[in-house]
Amino acid sequence: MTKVAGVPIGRRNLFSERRRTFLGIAGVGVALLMVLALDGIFAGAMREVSRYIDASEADFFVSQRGVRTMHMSSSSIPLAAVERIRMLPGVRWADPILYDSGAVTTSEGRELTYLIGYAPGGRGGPAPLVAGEEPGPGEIVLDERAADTLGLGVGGRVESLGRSWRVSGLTTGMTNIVNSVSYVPFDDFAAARGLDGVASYVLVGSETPADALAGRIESATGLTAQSRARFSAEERQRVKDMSTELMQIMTFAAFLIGLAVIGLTLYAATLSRLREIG
Amino acid sequence: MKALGARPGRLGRIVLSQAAWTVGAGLAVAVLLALGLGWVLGRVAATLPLVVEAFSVVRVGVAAALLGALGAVSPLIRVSRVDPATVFRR
Repeated sequence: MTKVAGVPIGRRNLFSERRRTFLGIAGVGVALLMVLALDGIFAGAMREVSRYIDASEADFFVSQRGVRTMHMSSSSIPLAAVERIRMLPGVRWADPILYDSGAVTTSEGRELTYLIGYAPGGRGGPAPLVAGEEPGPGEIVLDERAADTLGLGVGGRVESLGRSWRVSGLTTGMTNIVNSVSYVPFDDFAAARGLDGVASYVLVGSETPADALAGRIESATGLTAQSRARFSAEERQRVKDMSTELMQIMTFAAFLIGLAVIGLTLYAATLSRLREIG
Repeated sequence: MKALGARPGRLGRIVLSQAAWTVGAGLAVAVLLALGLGWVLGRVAATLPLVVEAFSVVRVGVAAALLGALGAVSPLIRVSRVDPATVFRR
């Protein structure tokens, strides 16, 4: 028998009946699309949950010793530590924020939110603002999608932290599959929560983004300091571990179903060519 | 092909190459459709982004290639039992 390379024979045989071949490719493609789409939605959701951290100007996030995330975490840092951090060599700026998870409520509904208390004009606040302005006393900035869901615009009123707030501005890109992010003045947040002289986290900008600075902050303050990338990864992992078992199960089920469909499609395709092969 | 003298190894390579073409083309179609779906979702449901990651494509592609190869090769067991003479009689 003349020695002919296997691949061209296989390809010629495969494409000799195009309708059958294209149906096989379509079957495999749709099965893979189902897996890729669910994988992609899961990956997209995970990326969005750390958007506040990823969009921050901070090179490092400092938290109470041992606290490595924001989601489902409680961190308390004396404000005196912020001054100590500002004095460290390599630190360009350090701004405290207060943080809690809660909800913003109107007569139209209720939206889960991360509440951030920050010093207006400082870091840690809403960026970018798409309407209105930074919050003054008694004011709040909402994400535009959360505001839209609640039927609110600039000048509207919401309830949160046990008091009423006037919406002073709207930001964008801070609503995800889990919740949104809302911003109020640091002092108002502290008063509403009865806090005095403490922050939840300290955002730190460095002169040069060197990991060694995290070690210097930890040595000087006894707190936990992580780079933005590390903090963001920890946050995503925490959400993944605690909130998304259902999505992981769905993704895995889709993976198995998709592979079964592909296996059966190719099994059937080969069976249909068995007479040519045999 | 077997009746014309192709050995089982040759038949296996032919079937595997057909499976590879089908899975490869199917994967390319799926990635393009997923990117398109992500683009559409980004416009109609911004809080539900669809991100096609390279790792996901590789993982799904490798698993599909393995399962596809298994699915494609298993019917060859039937072929190995067929007497070539019966094929000519059909």
